[in-house]
Amino acid sequence: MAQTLPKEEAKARFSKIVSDLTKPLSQFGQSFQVWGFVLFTIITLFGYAYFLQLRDGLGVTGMHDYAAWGMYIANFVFFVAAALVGMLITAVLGLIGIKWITPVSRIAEMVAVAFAMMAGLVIVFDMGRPDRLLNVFLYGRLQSPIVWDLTVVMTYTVISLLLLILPMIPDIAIIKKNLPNAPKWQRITWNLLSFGWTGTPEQYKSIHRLVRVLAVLIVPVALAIHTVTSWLFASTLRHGWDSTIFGPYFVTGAFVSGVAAVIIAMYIFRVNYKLENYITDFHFDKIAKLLVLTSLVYFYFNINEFLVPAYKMKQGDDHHILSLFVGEWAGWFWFAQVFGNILPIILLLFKKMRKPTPMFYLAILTVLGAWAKRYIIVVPTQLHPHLPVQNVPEAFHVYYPTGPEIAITIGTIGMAITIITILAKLFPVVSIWETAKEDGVDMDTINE
Amino acid sequence: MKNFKRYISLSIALSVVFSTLVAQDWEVPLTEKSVVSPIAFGPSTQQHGKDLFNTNCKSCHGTPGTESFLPLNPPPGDPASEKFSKQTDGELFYKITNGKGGMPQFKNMLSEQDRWDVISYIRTFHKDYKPANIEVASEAVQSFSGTDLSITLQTNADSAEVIAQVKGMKDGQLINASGVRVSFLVKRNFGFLPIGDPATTNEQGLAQMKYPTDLPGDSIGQYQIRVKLVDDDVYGQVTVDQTVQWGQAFIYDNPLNYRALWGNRANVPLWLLFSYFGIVGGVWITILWVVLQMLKLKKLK
Repeated sequence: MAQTLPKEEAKARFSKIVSDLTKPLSQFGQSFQVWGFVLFTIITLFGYAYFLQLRDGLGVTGMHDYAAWGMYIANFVFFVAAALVGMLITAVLGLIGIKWITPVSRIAEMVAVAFAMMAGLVIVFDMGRPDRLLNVFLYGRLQSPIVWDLTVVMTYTVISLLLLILPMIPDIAIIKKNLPNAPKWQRITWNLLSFGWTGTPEQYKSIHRLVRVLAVLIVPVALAIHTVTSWLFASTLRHGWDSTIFGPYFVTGAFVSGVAAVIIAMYIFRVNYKLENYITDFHFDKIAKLLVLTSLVYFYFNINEFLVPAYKMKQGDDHHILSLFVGEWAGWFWFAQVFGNILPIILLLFKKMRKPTPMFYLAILTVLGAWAKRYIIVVPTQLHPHLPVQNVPEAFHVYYPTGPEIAITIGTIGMAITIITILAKLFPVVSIWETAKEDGVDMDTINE
Repeated sequence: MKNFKRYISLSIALSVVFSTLVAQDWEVPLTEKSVVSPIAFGPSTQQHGKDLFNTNCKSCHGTPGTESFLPLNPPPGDPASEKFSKQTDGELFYKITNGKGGMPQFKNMLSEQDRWDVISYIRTFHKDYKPANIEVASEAVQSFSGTDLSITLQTNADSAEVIAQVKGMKDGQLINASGVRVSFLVKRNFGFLPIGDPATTNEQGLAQMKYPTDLPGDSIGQYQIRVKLVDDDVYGQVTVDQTVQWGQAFIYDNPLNYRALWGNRANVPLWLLFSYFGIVGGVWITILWVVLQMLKLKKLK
């Protein structure tokens, strides 16, 4: 923390921060309209594809008796994975007192909330009869990991949402005061979510305590959500899924994709919201090192996950491993491993690469690699069942996602981005009061 | 990479060619080719062969004459086809006996006579077949030509025997039906299974069967038996069921009745029940507490 600034200087500094961080909230310029139109188109296409799926059933997808989980579930695993970054940054780094996360943690929470919400929705989109969702709760067996999964996805979404809103309450009170001419929908939301904030020391004490409780609570819940997701696979006796390290393998992979997703969001907000003075090269450098660390841990788990079975080459596993390494899935596999894991480790070792622009492009490749990785975790195993695939239509030997399936998948990604976009128009993406406090603005000025 | 793919496709191509060669190349020793059935084929061997075919061969070879065999490689083939009809009795016998590849060996599963009976049944689909054994079938199966057949059962608890009395209408009179094939069955989990081969009624219209006494029955050793006419295409469905107490008492211990991971919803293991609701309850109570505290922020002046 910097030295406390003299009163006049503090006032000037604070009003600069407020105006820099709130300006984007009231700007709906041409590029934003184009952006909105793109998202609207993606969601409209989704709407049509989902209408087809509701009308004609899951037959419009490429899934069949063997590949009963396809692109949707791969996408679901990806969303859950990327959502874990909220826990990593806010809770783990926050609790051990890492300072540089101040301008990053809210972006990470927004990404986490959007992805966790969409993870829940993707499960519904994967159902041929979504009207039967309630049956999971009415008739579900507690013995089934699917019931556990639904439970943790909902719980994690709620905690992430609270962890987004709670530290934001002082900010909401500030923007309410500073943007009196904002559109009605923004003002209503701010009124609702400021919880009568006046900035008393007791109130600050209370939210500090609540954030701390939630930060502790979210660590096991976040580990649970992705571990249970991995158990959906690992608790079945299938080649490629039958693994004892699937839980940590998924969690560490989740941190890689989540950090990469946050880097993308950081870059976009930095450029579009002109936040170069807040999300600085220093922060990019730090989060690049975080990506290297998470990628190294993930690399370690990848070695365990593939080297050990490949050394033994058990019958069935051999076919699976060969198809990934040199067979029909080799393209997907090496794309995922190189871009989703190895490249970030190597490139980000160089200082020149730890700059916003190269990191942005690298993060996009990493996210694509991470998505591809989920796809080859879900699909190939199902196409190598224990009994030979015979006496079935030719199409059952392979799995190709269909047009509606791809449109729905892209639609869900579009929806996640839409949620982030709306959140970033409602609330400042960088915490005003925490930034001001770190810059040496006294609490009285902040609360004025 | 390229080379690897080439090896894969080459080996697939080779294996296809090889398996076709193998299928074509099922050589039967010359001495075996000319073997003929020791007894002549006739309606009784054909009938028995049909029963055996349906239980042992149909699952792969399908119904003869309908090309409904399984699409395996090499294809099992339709027994009515030329592939079979051009083979000698000895060749068919050798192949059924010894098997090869996907075709199982029936040496120890069917007696020699059974195997010949299957061939005699297959031969009924081959128009041009001339029996190698010139001796014409001497035994014609007696067959009852009346109608409205009925079965009455008489059971002997001491010897676990069932005597079926078959009667039918012929020329306006109810008479004992002789020469009618009767099968004896017992109810198991998924349906009725035959006890021995079907028996044929004698002049008094009687057929009998001794039931095993070591079968698992219900909790007091009861099991259900069924007696029915085999040729239901001729006589219609004629079936009699009866419960007998000749089996071993068997109390089925349903694993679903226990609290276990594989159990139904009501039988969730207690450790799981408490863990789940303990964890979920703890987390959600904390969440609700946080939300309540948020609502109280207003009062913290």
